[in-house]
Order: sequence, then C-alpha cells, then structure tokens
Amino acid sequence: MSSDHKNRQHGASIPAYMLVAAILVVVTSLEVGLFYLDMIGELMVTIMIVLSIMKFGLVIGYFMHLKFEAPLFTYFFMAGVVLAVAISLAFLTLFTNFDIGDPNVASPPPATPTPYPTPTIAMIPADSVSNVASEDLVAVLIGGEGIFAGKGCAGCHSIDGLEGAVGQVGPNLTKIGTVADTRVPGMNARGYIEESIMNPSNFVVDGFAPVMPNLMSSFNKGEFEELVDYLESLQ
Amino acid sequence: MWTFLGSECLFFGSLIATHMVNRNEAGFIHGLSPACLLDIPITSISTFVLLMSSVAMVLAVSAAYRFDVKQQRLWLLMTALLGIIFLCFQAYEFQTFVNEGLTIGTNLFGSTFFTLTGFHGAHVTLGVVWILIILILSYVKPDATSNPLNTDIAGLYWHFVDIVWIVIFTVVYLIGSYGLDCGHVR
Repeated sequence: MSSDHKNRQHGASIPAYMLVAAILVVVTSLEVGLFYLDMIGELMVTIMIVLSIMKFGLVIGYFMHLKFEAPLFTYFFMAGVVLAVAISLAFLTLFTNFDIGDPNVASPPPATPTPYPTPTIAMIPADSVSNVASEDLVAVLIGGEGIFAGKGCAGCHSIDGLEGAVGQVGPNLTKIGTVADTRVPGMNARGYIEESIMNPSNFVVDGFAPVMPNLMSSFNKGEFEELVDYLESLQ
Repeated sequence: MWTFLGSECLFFGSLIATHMVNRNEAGFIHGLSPACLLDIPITSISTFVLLMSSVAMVLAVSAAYRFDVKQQRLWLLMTALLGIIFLCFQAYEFQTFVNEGLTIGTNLFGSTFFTLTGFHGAHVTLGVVWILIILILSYVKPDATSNPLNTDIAGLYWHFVDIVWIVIFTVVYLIGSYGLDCGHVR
C-alpha cells in the first residue's frame, strides 16, 4: 500500500496464480471427498482443519500477495487472526469442556438415576409446598413438573394441584392428556401435545389468542420428551 | 487495509465460535439440525464459484498493474458475476431453509447460522458493489481509476471474503455436519 507499490514487480506471476488456484481447487475437492469417505472418523476434523489452514495461507500469501509485502502488514493481519483463533478456542473450550450450567435451566435433571421415584402430584401434597416461593419450587419439583414450571409454561397455563401453575393466558391443562386425544381427528394425544409445543400457532383453542412463543430452543431432547410424557399423563 | 482485515477476523471468528457452540442446541427438533439441512453438494459448488471469483480478481489486479484496461474490465466483470452467482446460491439456500421451517428465530442453530452466513453474504454484496463501482468508473472517469492500487485494495477485501468462506465451509458445513444423524423426535 506504499506509493512505490505500482512501480515494482507485483506479487507472483500469472502461471503462479494459476498453480495456486489449481491447488485450491484440488484441496477443496479433497475436503468434500473426505467428507463422504466415512472411514477416518475423528481424524477427519484434524485433516480438514489442516487443509483449511493451507488454503487460508495460500490465498493470503499469493492472491493477497502478503508474502511479497512489508512484514508490518503481516504483523497487523496476523495479530487479528491469532486473537480471533484464541478467542474462538477459549470460547469453544469454555462451553464444551466444562459444565458451567445453562443459566436458562433452573433445575437440570440429575445425570445419574435417582434412588427415589419421580414425585407425582399425589406425592407432593399442595400444603407441603405452598409456602415455597415459586423459584424454589422449580428446584423442588423434578421431572416433567419441574420442566413445566422451570421453562415458564406455568406462567400462562394452569394445572389444578400444581403449585404455581395458575396462568390464565393459555388453556388449563389439568386434563390435557384426555382432551388432547379429541382435539384433532386422526391425531393422538401425544402427537397433539408435541405439535402444540413445536408449532404453537397450529392448533389454537377457541377463545385464546395465538400468543404462545416457540420454546423449542430451550429444551434438550430429554427434557422435551419428559415434558410431553408428563402432559400426556394428565388425564 | 490489513489492519481492517485483521479486525474483521475477530468479527467472523466470534460469529463462527458462537455458531459452533450453539449449533446443536435443539437442532434435532423436527429435523431442523445442521445434519438435516446443510446441503454439501450445492454448497461445494458455491464454494467453487467463490474460489473462481478470487482467481478472476487476481487476474483483474494483475491486468491493472500491466495497465491493460480491457483485461482489467473483463476480469472485474467476471469477479462481480461470480460473486452474484454465489449470492444466488445463498439466497436459494436461505429460501430452502425457511421453507423447511428454519428461520433466525427457530432455534440457536438457525440464529447463529443465519447471522454468520448472513453477515458473510452482506460482505460479498458489498464486495460486488465495490467491484462494480470500479468497473463503471473505469469508463466514466478513467483517470481516477488508473491507479492499480484501487483495484488491488478491492482485491484484498474480496480475497478476504473468500478466505472467510473457506473457513465457514470447512468448519460450519463439513465439520459441522460430519458424523451427525438427521435425528427426528418421532
């Protein structure tokens, strides 16, 4: 980018550019080929990253002629690259290797099987939890009830006998396991419940506004199934 | 320019890392996961198109330094056209995803994917506009564009957008959907 830039031999020659282009095409094809070769497993990620860095270097060095520039340009650019890679790696390590918990999940289900059975409504008398603040309630209830309370369902839907589930925005779900079976011809209770959570605006009960948010991104697979199990069990 | 590109690395690095962390969040729900949606063959073609546009850009810059205006215009036009073809592939991909039910608000895979590739697409769009401006100015105000550095710097930007895609294609598409099943709830 200096003023004498245009007067000197600039970067590589055209045959060299073509050679670099050919290498880039071959490496990209190799990557796609490897993707469909299902044999090398974990090693593939490493190979892919190495090939990708190779392409990165070729484009920067030759197409962007950084190889032929003053080292200062390289320092400027590589500072950004190194910082970006470091931040990305730190971020990935933080969120994949350590269980720092999900701030959105009030009560993660226990990883090991609990020595006691999942409490049912009958096992938790209303008066035993009536003095517990609703935030604490989430920690008390586990299983489907815990998810129902913890994910905020209880804010809009009421279930008779479930502490804190007194919302009036959406339909009462006390007997949803029975009701769901009759709602849509050809659809069983489970299918109806799943669909109603996955696509809240598909089946809106008369008299209610289509305001339920899509909460799918807040469940993991186990939680989703547990919640559906619980709702289906409400007869 | 190189300092700006260094800062752009941070920008895309953060978006890619955020995508990698969140891509599997609820992605398995009704098939809206990377493994179900990402179309490797189609994206391989669009990756190839973008790569070829970088080659065209190199030829344009080379012609600019030789003051070969005809060649320079030809390859600038080729670069812009290939860039537009790439954008068409992306528009098609976005359209397909939305038809399948994945939008930016559906799940974290959708949010991070559309944010990342959307910002990349915006960079490509800006590059196409930049290149077309140089191309048009070479007719309208030849004196102002005779300095090869104008084309060269646009080229740096264009190649940078290409290397960002090299990383996105490898990390998000190939590694991102490798070995994952397209699992459905039912």
